[in-house]
Amino acid sequence: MTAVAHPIDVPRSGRWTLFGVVAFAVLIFTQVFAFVTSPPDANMGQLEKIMYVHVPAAWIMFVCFVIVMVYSLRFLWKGREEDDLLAAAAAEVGATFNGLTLVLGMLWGKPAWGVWWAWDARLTSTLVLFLVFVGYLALRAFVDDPQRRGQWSAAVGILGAINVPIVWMSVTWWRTLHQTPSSAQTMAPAYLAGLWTNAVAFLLIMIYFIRRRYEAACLIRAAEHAAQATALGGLE
Amino acid sequence: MVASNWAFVTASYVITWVVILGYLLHVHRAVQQARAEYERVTGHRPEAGGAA
Repeated sequence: MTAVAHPIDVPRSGRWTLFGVVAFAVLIFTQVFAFVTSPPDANMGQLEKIMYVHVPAAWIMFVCFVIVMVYSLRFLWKGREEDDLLAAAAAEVGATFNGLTLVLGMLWGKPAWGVWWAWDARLTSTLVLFLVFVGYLALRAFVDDPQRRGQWSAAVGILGAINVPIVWMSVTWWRTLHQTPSSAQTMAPAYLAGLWTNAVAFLLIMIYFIRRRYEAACLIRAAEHAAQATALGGLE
Repeated sequence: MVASNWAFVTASYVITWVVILGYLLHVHRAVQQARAEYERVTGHRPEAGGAA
């Protein structure tokens, strides 16, 4: 294990503001596109339109937690503080999309299944995932020492991310209320374009959010490093 | 018969945009506060150094 000691590389804002503007423009376009091009479903009527936000939010949540796992492992291996900060940024964005997925699922569930919530395998495992990453963020808020915070949260992040394939496969392993995953095999072509374009738009938004959150975390840590260096210089 | 579910659809999109725009605001504020703190401690603007 390497000690966290080297100064933080401060990322520049630069082109990321433009990237964010483009990402939001793409999201607006894809949502209008999905609304206009998708016909009402024979059974569910207009309810299928919830899919264009619910499913991409769920996919992005998975992507975020895989990023958490990759950068947590990298932090434990190399001890680079930037990896810990990137994992934390992805965890916060992932938890946000996870919460959104749960709420949108409830808005789908009430008219489709007649209940807001059921202790179905997919719903329950998604809730567990959410609670794990809320715990991850709470843990980071309570531990002051950067190295200890990084190590503990990396352990929680890796354990939490192990839940991702369980959530993904839950509808296959336990056939309960939630339908099987949305894919080209399970959906009519009329709905696929709207779903995929919205997934890309959500992915762009996710990249933008993680990058800006990471930038803020790096700036704070760089300021803390500079303050420490000044204090140590004053003691000499 | 297909029931009208526009209320649920509308609520879904409103909540999605509230969450996304709310988080955008949160991130924007976090970056602004972090930049101000960095500038206060180091005495120079963040763009001056560091990796792109």
